[in-house]
Amino acid sequence: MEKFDLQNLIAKLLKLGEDKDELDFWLSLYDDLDPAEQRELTANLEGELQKLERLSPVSHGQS
Amino acid sequence: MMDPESLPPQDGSQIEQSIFFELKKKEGQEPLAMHEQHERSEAVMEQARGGRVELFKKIALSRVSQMVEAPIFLKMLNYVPVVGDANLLAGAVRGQEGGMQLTAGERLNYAAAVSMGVLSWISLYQGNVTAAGLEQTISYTLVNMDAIPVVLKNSAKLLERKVPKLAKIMSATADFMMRKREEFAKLGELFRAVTPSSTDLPPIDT
Repeated sequence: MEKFDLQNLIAKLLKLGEDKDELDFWLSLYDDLDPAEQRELTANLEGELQKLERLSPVSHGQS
Repeated sequence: MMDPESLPPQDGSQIEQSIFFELKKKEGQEPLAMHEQHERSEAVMEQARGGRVELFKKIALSRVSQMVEAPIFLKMLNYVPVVGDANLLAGAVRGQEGGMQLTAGERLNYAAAVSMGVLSWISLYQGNVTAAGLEQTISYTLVNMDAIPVVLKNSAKLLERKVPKLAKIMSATADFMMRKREEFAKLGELFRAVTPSSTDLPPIDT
C-alpha cells in the first residue's frame, strides 16, 4: 500500500472515532517498516475500517 | 447477534437518523440504541488496537535483534518486558499488572514507553548494566515517564548510524509520548502506586 493510501485509510478511521495520536504514530513508522510489517499494519487497519463502516450505515458507499 | 446494519448512522445528521429509524420501522427491525452502537464501535477499536500492540511488540523485537550482534545487548534480552517472559512486568503487556486492567491503548503506551525507554537507557549506559541494574532501570522508566522522550531523542541520535531503524522508532516514540503526555503521566502514576522499588537510576559504572 502506498503511503497516500494509508493516509486516506487513516483519515476514514479518524472520522469513525479512532485515536489520532496513535494512528499518526503508525503513519510516522510506516516508511521504516519491513514489507511484511507494512502488510500486517494495513490489514489490521483495513479490517477495523470494514467493521466500523458496517456499524455506521451512513458511511456505506463513501470512498 | 444483531446485524450491524441495524445500527443507526454514527455521524449522520438528525434527519439522516430519523430516516434510518423510519426505514427500520418499516422493515420491522428494532434499531440498536446509540449507546450500544458506541459500545460496539469501541469494542471493534479495542480489538484492532490489541492487534497493533502485538505488531508493535514484533517490531520492537525485530529492531532489538539488530543489536544482538553487539554482545553488550545480549544480556538485556530476557529483561525487556516486550521481549522476554523473565520480567515480572511482562504481565502488564498482557493486560494485567498489580491488579490493574489495561486497555489496548494503554498496553501500546506501556510497550512503547518501556521497550524503547529501557533500550535507550541501556544505550546510554553502553550496555554496561547488570541484571539488577536493569530491573532498577525498568522501574525507573515506569515511574518517570516524563523523562523518557528526551532520553529517546538523545539515544536515537547516538544510534542513528549503527541501528537506523531502531533509532527511527525511538524518535517516533518520543514524538508519540510528547503528544500523549497526559496519558503517559497517568500511566506513570499508576505504576508509581504499585512499584515499591527504588526510583533512582543505577550508577553508570554498575
